Amino acid sequence: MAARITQQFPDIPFAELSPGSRFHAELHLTEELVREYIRLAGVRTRQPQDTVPPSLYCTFLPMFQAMGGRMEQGTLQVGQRIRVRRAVTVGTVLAAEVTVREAVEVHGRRQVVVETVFSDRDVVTCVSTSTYFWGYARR
Amino acid sequence: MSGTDEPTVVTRTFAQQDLDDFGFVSGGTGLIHTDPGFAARTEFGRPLVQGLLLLAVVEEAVCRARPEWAGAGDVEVRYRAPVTVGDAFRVEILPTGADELTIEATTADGVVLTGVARVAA
Repeated sequence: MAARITQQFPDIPFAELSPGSRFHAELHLTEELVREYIRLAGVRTRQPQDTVPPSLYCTFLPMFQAMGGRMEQGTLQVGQRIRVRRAVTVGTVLAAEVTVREAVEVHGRRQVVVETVFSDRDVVTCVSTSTYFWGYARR
Repeated sequence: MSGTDEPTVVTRTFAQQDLDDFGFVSGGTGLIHTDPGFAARTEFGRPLVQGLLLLAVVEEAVCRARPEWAGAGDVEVRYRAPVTVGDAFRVEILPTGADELTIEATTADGVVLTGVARVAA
């Protein structure tokens, strides 16, 4: 049966993850993107013309674009850390450097840690660290 | 800053359309979030709300408690239990220091997320 929503990126198998490997992408924070995010997140504390919420750009998109693929289907996110260093405004094109920090199998769970450093014209704006159980829900 | 030690509370309940729409915005279109048939074959039974969508609600709650966090701050959360379509996700932010806030989120089943936020000094 076909998926309801077309999957834009292919799965990256756990075995292909190499700790220390780095990837790069860019993310354009358009007003349209910010407006939709604000609607979905129920944001009342800022308007689309204000600064961009960090969790808007610390998403899967830069990671998938940089790595050329997505987490295996059924992956669970179990942790997230965001360190904001500088506010970002709408219209900014952020550079994202994605690093696979860890890919280990412990007690049958394939834990993967991915760090993404976002920069605006070579100035770091945010560091995002995500922890996943890779492909957990279909194993 | 709110100026009190009262908790800041934000509650959201997500429909499948919210998960689909957030998937398009964030890239989080994974089948565990957007395909009820796939989710029904897992131990969870129903689609899971994307962790980053939950974090967005947490971040909004943190910003209501401490608006300056958005410009320079940290947040760290652990996802303790799944949140599925239809669950009422309640985030409570409590000041625990001059620049620190504790985060706890619950559904009817109990605690689903814990964490801490810090405003840069």
